[in-house]
Amino acid sequence: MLKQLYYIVPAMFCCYLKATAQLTTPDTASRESLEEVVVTATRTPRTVNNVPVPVTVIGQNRIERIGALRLNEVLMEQVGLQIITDHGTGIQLQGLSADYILILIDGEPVIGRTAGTLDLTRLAVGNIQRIEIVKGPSSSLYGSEAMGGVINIITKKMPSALTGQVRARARRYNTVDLTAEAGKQNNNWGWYLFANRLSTDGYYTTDSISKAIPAYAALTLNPKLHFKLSRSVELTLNTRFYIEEQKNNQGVQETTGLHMLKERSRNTDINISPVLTFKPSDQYRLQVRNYITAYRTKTTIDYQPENKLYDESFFRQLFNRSEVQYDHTFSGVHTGTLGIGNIIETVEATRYDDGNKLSQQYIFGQHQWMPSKQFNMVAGFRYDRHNQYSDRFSPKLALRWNINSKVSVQASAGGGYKAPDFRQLLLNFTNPLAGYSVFGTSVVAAGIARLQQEGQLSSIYVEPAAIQNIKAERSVAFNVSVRYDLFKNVNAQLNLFRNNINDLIDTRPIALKTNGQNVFSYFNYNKVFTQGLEFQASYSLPFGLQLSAAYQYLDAKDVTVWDNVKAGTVYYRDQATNVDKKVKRRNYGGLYNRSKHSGNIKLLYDNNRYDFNVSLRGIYRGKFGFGGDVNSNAILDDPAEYADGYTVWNLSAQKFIKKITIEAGVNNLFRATSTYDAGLAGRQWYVGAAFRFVKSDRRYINQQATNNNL
Amino acid sequence: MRKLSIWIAASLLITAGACKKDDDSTPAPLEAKTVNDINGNAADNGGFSMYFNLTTGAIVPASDSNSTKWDIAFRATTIKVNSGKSGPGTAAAQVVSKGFDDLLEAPADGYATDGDAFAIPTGANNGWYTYTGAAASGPQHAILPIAGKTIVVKTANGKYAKVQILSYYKGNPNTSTADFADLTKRPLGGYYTIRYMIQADGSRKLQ
Repeated sequence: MLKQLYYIVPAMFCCYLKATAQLTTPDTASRESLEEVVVTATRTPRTVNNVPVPVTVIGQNRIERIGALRLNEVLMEQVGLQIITDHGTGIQLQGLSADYILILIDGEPVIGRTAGTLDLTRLAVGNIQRIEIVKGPSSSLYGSEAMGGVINIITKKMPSALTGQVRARARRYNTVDLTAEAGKQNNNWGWYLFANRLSTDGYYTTDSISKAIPAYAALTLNPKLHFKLSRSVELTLNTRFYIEEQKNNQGVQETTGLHMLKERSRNTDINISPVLTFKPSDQYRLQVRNYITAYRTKTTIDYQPENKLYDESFFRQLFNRSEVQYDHTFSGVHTGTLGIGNIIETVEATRYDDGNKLSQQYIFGQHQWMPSKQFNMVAGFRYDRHNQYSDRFSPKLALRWNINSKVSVQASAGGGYKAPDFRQLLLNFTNPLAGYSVFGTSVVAAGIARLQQEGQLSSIYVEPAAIQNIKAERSVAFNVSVRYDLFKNVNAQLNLFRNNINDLIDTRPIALKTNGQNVFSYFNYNKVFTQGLEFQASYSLPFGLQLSAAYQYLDAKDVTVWDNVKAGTVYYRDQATNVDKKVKRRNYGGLYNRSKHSGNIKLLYDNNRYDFNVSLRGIYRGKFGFGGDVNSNAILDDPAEYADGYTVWNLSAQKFIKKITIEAGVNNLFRATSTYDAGLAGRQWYVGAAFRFVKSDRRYINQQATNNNL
Repeated sequence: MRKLSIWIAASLLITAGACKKDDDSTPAPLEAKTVNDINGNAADNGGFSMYFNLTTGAIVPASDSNSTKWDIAFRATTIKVNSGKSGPGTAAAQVVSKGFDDLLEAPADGYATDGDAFAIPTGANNGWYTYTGAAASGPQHAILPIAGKTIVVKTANGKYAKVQILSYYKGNPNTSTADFADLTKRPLGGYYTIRYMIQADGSRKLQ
């Protein structure tokens, strides 16, 4: 709703949102999606038709019209993105799981992962101006976790007139979402404030004691400040505060029978990001950023009804990143970028030793060459040095060729990596019941020495000295994309991708204890690949209708298993006869939780005469392996090891009456269900209303959806 | 049955021996034998494991547990070999990731004896079996042999044998049935059905 004022926003605001010629001139072409400026692909502002990697942009209007409350609800409607609920609501992209997807807010990473999953329900969407999605590795710019892709949330800019909005939405499961926002850009300074409270009872997907999505209440605050210190120097301060209280029930089977447990957890999340930009001319830009973020969780589990403590755990992470980036444009066709940074991270948790300090230094460089409108090329690298694991070099090369006005080709090759997680580095855990021990690679030497001293070891299989050189998990990936604008109102895009991922980290026994149990640590040994194609087409029909369809084919396999299947050394047990048989190639289904086929179809209708819109979206997820094993070989090969596919239909509508918006809709219209998908709630209606105020007589313009990603 | 097995084994020994004398280029194919329901429940065996001799194909009484008359022994999900902490012998074993019928020759090395750790690793997914726990599909809380795992034993008298665990439940039941999934109807556990083949001539050939 603030968007109508964007073009008069003073030249520069956000860290990456450097003013460019495209932005400063009143941008009548902004309705043309191809002129949209994106920042994620190159860490410099570029129009979307001028970057060599495909960038999907989801605009604010799209987020609002589907009635989304949290980021997962926006992303679930995108092709190639699959919501997976596993220790939180995470995202899978090109077949890579949540561990390998970097989530950024205005270019700064969101921290606080549980078992690799960054819970997307922590991220409110009301302060989002647009979401940029870059598929394929971007570790050459962003470092760890940018292996499968980068999802960058760009928050709203400050409007030049005092503008604000309040919005309330109610949904099934007693879900209430309240939002208020306001902002103003003055001559020399500006402010923006966003506040949101979401509460829900959560829901069950199966007949169980625990809810699939727990009851929770969360508060988000996002204050921002902007100062223009001189003609060429600006300072912005972007902050975010988040607090969430969750509760759920659990059952535990003990010798005395089944006990009920009550679980309560509190998550807090703080992000503070000051950015100083020095930009004396269009040729140079120097940015100094210091991002500090903290994530904390505390979980208490009590026996019910006696309220006696069952378990208590905590996790505290602090992340500080200082970074300098310099961009230099010369001869009009070259842009060089050089950046250096330092990261200090501390982590404390129930199963870690105290005083864990991780430090990392990095340098990245990028050269963009744009000799003509037809052709451009980007080459970049990043070198990361870490005090806990081996150094890492991540290159990337990407090019774009606009063959003619209708056809363009993008191709890229790059390296991605993911740092070993805290558990893999720092875990120091001995199971009190079973008696086995697990050590992270940074603490294994001390752990083994201690056990040896205490006489608890009977033999050592692997010398601890050999374990400390753990490497980051790494990938090499190739992406090719062809876009074809058949007519003005019809376009299609085809992407092909392949990710080769090496050095996946897993546990292995390293020593034997005198109690007969093993000591485990972490090693790089597994390899997987994912490959596939993605096809999207959209068609702007007359009468304000827009139709689009998208499809992804995905093939994701464990390389070792696949090689063994091909060599005929993988067996399954025929349960009827208890005889082992060889697994046939066509029966190996690859990695769990990947759907070979997925896609969506969307029909949008905009009525400008009566100021309303309706959107109907169908999101298909094909059958997927849910992780069960029925034939004793621990791989996905039996039809009974797959969960059925399903289609979720979501319907939503908005009506604009002057300054008021009324909205209503139904999510999961036909009650698709899956035992193996906790994110799939029952049919959920919602209603909402918003009121906006603008301290000027500027008439509200109902903007059409301007983005091309459907 | 037991007597018959002895006779088969004895005749095999004789045949093998005969072959070696006459012409060792075409040995007669070895026979894979199946033994049903070896009871590995210590409570049924006076607190002892169930001892087994691969050469004779016969159960060895617990009174001979401190002898080299047995090669392998069963106790719940643990399979011991006659060496180290388990017995006075020198038997050794390893678990090979190859199907029983495809394993045509015993590995030359890689054998372990029973020390602090058993030669055949214990625990789910470590050695020969997996435990289904509260599995989302299939039977829950079941001990199922891992497909494509073959135990290779170097017996107390230096012969090579391969062993496949067919079932851990009495009567070698079909594990995909509703009856097996039903814990109240599932046959008793701890009863091993094994398929094995032993090479009497001391070579590593197992076919």
